[in-house]
Amino acid sequence: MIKWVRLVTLIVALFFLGAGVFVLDAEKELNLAYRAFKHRDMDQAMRHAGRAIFSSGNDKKIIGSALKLEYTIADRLGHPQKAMVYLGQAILLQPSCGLCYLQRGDLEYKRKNYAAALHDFEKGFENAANVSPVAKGYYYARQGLSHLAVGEDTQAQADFQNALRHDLESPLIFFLESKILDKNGDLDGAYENALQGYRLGRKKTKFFSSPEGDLWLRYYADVMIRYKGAQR
Amino acid sequence: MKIQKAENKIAQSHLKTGTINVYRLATGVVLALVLGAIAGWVRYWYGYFVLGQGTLVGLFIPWAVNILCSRDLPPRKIMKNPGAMMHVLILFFCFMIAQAIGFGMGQPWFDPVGWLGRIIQDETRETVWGISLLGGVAAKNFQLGVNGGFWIFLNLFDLFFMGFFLLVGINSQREDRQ
Repeated sequence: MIKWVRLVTLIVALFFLGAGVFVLDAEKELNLAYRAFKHRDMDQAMRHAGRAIFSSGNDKKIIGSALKLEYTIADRLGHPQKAMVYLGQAILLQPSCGLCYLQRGDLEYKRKNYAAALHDFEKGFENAANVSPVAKGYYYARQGLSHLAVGEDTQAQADFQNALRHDLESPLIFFLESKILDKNGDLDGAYENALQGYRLGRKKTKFFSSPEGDLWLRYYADVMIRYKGAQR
Repeated sequence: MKIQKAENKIAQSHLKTGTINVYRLATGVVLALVLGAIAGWVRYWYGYFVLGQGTLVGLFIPWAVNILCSRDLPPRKIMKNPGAMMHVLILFFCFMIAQAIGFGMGQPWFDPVGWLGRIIQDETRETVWGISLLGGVAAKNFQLGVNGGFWIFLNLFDLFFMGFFLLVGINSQREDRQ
């Protein structure tokens, strides 16, 4: 009797093992990916997101969500080229995803491809109804910095106004205004805005600890030294 | 028939003189590399079947080497027999390197060593699956994530079986000492 129980349960266990390992449920995999991401296990999050895409068939919603998660992880772990690929795939799948364009514009800005960044920001703001005000403020600031980099100062100023309308607490927005004023020769205004940006940046724990935050800190120090020198 | 007998005699004579067919060793190395890469990829995407992987690989490599490059074939190129332990170490090393490359190939970006480091440091987990016998009666399948010391133990357990089966399968001792 025991022999038969052993045999039957072994066959059942083998069946469930095969089904559990090789037959994947896309939705379950996506949930596991989100859970792993929440617990900061990026390897498992990427793995489950990849398995969700693999097993999704043609479910655009699941593929889109998994690709966005993969983009977030790739960007966070410092793989911008891979992040671009994931976002490109997400945009192909969901052309009306305004946030995807804005995020890709942000990546292009970081790679100093300002023309491409501006193109993506423009496309992104066309479908940005669902984007949160704070995110809008951030991306307007990015657009302004891109405009400033290509020498379109007037549009950069307009972006600053738009950004300020959505978020008053973003240090990036004040650093943008500081840069615009500095470029126009208004050192006092540049210093005031940089100081405001510095104060707001100190309130946000992650802002100055990032590589970009370090650049803004250096910019602030540079403006302050020039301002103090001019005061003397 | 006569020619085949003569060829067999030549092959046997090489065994007695403590030499090994180079192609036989090369076949083993290629098989270990290919299997290692496949095992690494499968392990990253589907999970690790502890004991199953080691046993399968340890049994498959010597068996496939015998099929593809039989000991009875007359060797075209020979070399000094490195000994069973060294022979297994070569195959084992090739398998492990290829497995690490397989992990990297499965990953979104090639970082196998980083991934293994994160598993050991409890920053991520590797999925392990298998079958356990509850009370020695009812079989039950399981799937869980492991890391840290337990992961190292499971790997050593699996690799021990792989090494054992490789060692038994290779059997490179001279005929008179077998």
